[in-house]
Amino acid sequence: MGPLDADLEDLYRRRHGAYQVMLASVTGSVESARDVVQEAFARALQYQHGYDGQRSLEGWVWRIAFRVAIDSHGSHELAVDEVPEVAFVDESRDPTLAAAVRELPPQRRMAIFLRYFADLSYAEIGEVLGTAEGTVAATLSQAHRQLSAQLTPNEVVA
Amino acid sequence: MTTYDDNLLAARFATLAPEPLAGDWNDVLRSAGMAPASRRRSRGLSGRRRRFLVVLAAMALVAALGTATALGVRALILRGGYIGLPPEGATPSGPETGELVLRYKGLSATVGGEGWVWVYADGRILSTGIRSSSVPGGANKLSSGVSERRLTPEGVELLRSELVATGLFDRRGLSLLFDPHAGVAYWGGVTLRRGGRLVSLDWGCSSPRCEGATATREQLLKIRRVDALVTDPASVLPSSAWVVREVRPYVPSHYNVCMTTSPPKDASELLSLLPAPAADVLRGKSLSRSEGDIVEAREAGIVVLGRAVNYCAKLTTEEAREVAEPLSGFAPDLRFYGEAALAYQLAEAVDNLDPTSISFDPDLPDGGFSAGG
Repeated sequence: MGPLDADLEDLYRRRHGAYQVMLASVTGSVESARDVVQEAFARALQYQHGYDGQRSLEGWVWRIAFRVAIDSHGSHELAVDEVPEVAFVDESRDPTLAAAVRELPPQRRMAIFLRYFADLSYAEIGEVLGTAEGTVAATLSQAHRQLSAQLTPNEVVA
Repeated sequence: MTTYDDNLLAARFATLAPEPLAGDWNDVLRSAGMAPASRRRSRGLSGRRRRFLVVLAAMALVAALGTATALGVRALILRGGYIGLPPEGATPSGPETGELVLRYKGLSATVGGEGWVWVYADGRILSTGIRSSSVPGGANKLSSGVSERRLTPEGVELLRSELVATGLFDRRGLSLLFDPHAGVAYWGGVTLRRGGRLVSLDWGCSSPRCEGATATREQLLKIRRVDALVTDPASVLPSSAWVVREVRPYVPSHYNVCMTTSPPKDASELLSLLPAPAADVLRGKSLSRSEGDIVEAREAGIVVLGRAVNYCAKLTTEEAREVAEPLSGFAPDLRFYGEAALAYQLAEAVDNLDPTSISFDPDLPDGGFSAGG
């Protein structure tokens, strides 16, 4: 038994749904994302000596999960923010938002997904993407501005 | 964007998101090669692999099948590969010995799972623990047993040259660390015979205690290539490189039969625990002895729990069968459930140490015998 077993189990039980939804943007479906999440946590268990404890455990697992998802996608050389797709969402539920998200450049789309599908803070998004919190804030600001331009004012601004 | 806007967008994205599926932590544990509710220990005995302590869930599985005897386990292990002794009449892999060209141990980035691979100059590729779509059914839920495939001599050279072409084997021993923030969660090591000497490559340690250079992006891609070449060669090497591409169970000519106990005792004491026919076979053999620590990983670090001793003898398959058959009424030692060995418990554990057991490990063509190399 490794020292992180209990923490990883707790993280999985609390957050596996968020991992699935977010990673479906890479794998293309929730079904395949579930397998990726399972494999990612399995690797985290097996590889827990690789966690240095300096940053959040959740962020570390997110990075593993993205790497597994990208590998499963057959795109070993891509960076995390080069891969998010929109096809996995049910566009009929909000066609306007889906269309607006599709227009976002991949980096902004990834930041938006991490913010709203994974429910991560700016600092946590920075950890996952390997960028500074300020860069995340700037990227999200640009994304928000672009979304606002495509959604009607009533849809975004009260 | 205001907080209100942020909340509004969050609500709209929540509507857009697909419903996640149910997740099962036990599936994660199985993917990690850890049976649910298992308790792991590693043993510091020289030349022996890490052992896992009693697998409670596996015991429950056996109970659910209506028997807690070795017969119950045997019914499980005959699916796909096998663990322990081969079915009677199975033809042993030949030749009996072989020169090791390559040895790998790691957590594969290509096929997942922690496992071992050995490649011999005669073309044989043996592996255990490696998960792959090309490996038909496991011997049990946690192990594929030891599998065999066979390359042509040219295929062996092609594999070797592909590995050398990565440039990672130019030095005698290269150790590449991973940036702990890179999300790279695999590790491994390859020892390759090159020009009459052995060169090694290790990757994936990201502990501050590890020594080595942090892998560059280019080196990471090369490591992925090495990982794929050794753990999933069927997907990488052309069909012309193969004599037998499909996976078959490895049938050894010999077994290493080992008795283990803690705290250490004399061999005669352990032999007295065996049924007479089994003890008689082992009494006529030379028993090698090794002693080491029993350790357990805890939050505070590695803790030494006590000492253990191994006594091992190399037996022919038929001799090993003569030892094993009188033991069929003994409880299986389920610490070995995920490995390629058959094992029985001879006596209960004392003082929270390991139980006394006897195991049957397949002998490999280079004389190695533990699945852990």
